[in-house]
Amino acid sequence: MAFSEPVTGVGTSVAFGTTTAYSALQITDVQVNGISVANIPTPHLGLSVGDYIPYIPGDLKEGDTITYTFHVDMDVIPLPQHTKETITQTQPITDGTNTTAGTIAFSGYISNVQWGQPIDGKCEGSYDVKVAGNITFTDSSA
Amino acid sequence: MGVAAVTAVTNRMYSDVLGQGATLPAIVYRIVSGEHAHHLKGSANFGETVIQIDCIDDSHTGRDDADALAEIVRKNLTSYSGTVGGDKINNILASTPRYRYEQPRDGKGIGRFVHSRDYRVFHAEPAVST
Repeated sequence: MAFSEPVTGVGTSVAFGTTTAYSALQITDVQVNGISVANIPTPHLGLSVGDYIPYIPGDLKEGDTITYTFHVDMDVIPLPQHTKETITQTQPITDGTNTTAGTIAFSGYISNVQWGQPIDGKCEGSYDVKVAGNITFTDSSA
Repeated sequence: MGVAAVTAVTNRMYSDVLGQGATLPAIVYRIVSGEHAHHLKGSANFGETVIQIDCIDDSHTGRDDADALAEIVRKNLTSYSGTVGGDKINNILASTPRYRYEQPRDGKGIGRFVHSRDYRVFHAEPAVST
């Protein structure tokens, strides 16, 4: 499908399969911190001075973490977890003809949380979710 | 300035404009700016409104009465939380005051001493369905 236009993050939400209370937090920003594969250098004696170092990609992907920024609810502080659960992030609908949002789903856990309680503004925080398994991408649909 | 004088001023609080010939001391308040908080699913039903409050007097003794009135306003508003007219206020912060003197327009008598201060009001907003 052709690219239509840029979109904002409005419509994004995250749902926790087990600790459902966390799903109700007001998310203000989502940062996917990087999905990557290892870069494996394969230099050999047949190379000449000035050549570029050759690489092969690793076989496995590193899911890294996803950082969610949220409005602090003092009754629901998301804490680091010791067990994995299914986490589903609902994506903004990017196509005007679609009504069902796309999702990314994976097994993961909260690995870090931090928040601030400033005197002159609303309380905001962020938590990191460690991607601990395969990510399933589902496109939006009509 | 005594409490009685301040009580009298409560009947002379004006929105935006001090009318011509208004009795002094008086208070003029105006909304300077507003900000609404959002999250990725809609409104956070939380806002910050900046309100400027000018305490005005034309005392022959100088600006002391305007400053005293402003100080009473500050003490009553700073750190206030509660419900006013159905609106929930989380907190009020006083900003740095500003002082000015307004010359009399006809060049006679004494002008006006104005003690002006912005207040940052953090408050809930009516829920918006998403």
